Amino acid sequence: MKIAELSLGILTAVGGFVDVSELVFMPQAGSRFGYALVWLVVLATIIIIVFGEMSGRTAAIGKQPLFNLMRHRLGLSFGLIVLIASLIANTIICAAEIGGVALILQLVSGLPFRLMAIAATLTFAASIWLLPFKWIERCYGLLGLFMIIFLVAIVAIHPPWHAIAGGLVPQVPAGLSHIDLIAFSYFAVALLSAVTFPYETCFYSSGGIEEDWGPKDLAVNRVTTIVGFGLGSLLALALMAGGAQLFGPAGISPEMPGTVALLAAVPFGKTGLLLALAGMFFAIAGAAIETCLANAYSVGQFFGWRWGRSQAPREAPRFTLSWLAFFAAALAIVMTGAEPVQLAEFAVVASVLVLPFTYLPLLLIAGDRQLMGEHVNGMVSRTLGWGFFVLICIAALAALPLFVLTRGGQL
Amino acid sequence: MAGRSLCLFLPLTLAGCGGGGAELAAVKSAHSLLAEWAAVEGMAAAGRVPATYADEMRQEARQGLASDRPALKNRDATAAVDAVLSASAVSEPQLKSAADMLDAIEKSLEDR
Repeated sequence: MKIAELSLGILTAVGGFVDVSELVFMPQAGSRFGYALVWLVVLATIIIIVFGEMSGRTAAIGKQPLFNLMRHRLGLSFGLIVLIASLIANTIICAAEIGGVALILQLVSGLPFRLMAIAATLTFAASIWLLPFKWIERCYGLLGLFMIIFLVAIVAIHPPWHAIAGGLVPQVPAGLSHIDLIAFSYFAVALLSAVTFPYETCFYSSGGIEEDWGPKDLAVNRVTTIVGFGLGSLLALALMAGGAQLFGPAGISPEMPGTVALLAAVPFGKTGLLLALAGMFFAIAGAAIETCLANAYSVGQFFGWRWGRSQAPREAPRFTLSWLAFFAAALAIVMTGAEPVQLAEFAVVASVLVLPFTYLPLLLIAGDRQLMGEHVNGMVSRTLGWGFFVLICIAALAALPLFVLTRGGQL
Repeated sequence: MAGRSLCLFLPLTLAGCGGGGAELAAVKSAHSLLAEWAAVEGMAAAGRVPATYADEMRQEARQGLASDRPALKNRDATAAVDAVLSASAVSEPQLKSAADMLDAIEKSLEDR
């Protein structure tokens, strides 16, 4: 039973790893810079593993939700600024996810984009209302495993494995022009942000509290984050490798999310394309639900409301109204006609700006021996945590200038 | 001091990314859209993608090109895009040839 639960948790983490921003940025990065950013995806995955594990541990031991920590550790005023910034970033991400799902539905059905966006949002809201928390996460996470088709496709097209392995060494490709060098830096920041979106730790730790984790769940938490996120990053790397192998030589830097599905159609035809679209649909849909719930969790935790999907909607009315309102706001953004790819570009920049303030309280509380007892951050977690925190601060400082200089990655 | 530098840097950066940057961004986007469309046509002709998918991708590519069109200043680039947009059906080789032309223009703009 325990092994079955653990396996399900890992598979859910794998299937839920990729979202619309990775679908946009990984193939583009591969197309433009080949395998030169593989190391960055690996680094970003280690960062999300370290902070994901930490957030699960603080949820299990400290029973402290992330935004409650934020209010206490950063102070009410500053905490409120971070909360608002985080809500804006997550709502943009949620809009990008809804737009991505609507595009996929449009590609399959031929029906109008806006109609599909409304249908998708209603389906997500119904999923949250009707399904128990565990099944919301698992349904979308497990069905997102259709994304494995991208991994199978990349193996089928026989990529240069030595070149991919060479990408594991941190590098800046030689001979880049001034513009390309700036674009390379922008992609490095964007990929880091896309893999470590702040909503992920908020959703993960809130889920731990919803499921009443305790010390007995620490091993599951550790294995789920390390193995689940680790394997999930292979899907992201497959998208990058596909971009390098198939898109780069053809002069494609995917401007349309539907193009990404061609990576599976090249070796497997219609079946591959439909499996890829199914995987993309569930992975993006899962992320839309997670971002929206993460927003509602953040507000509920910050203001001390009753929160959580383990309670009936009427028992936590303000929490319920919050996630409904965030879905409505995200849908409103999509209905303006904003492109999902553009929204994803805004989302990665907005998120990386918020990221240091999400991780700082986590680092402080996970290092608090009084609260965490014997489960306080050890030498490895502490060193990696603070080291990565500095790196994230540098990325946050660089994000906005790089976004402007590259016209949102267009140059 | 750092704050003042940032305040100066951002407007300068914005100014620096004006006209020339807009044209290069539009050329890059149009180049990729033409290449994506060509790939879809190639796969559709080989029966490797569903008809609905191909139709929607064509429509999306047309919309993208139409939105890039106003920022294109190079005469060859506008002619290539206009030719594609005005045709009711475009073949993979036509699209590839237009994409190759945009590729050359993109490289010349980058070299400036």
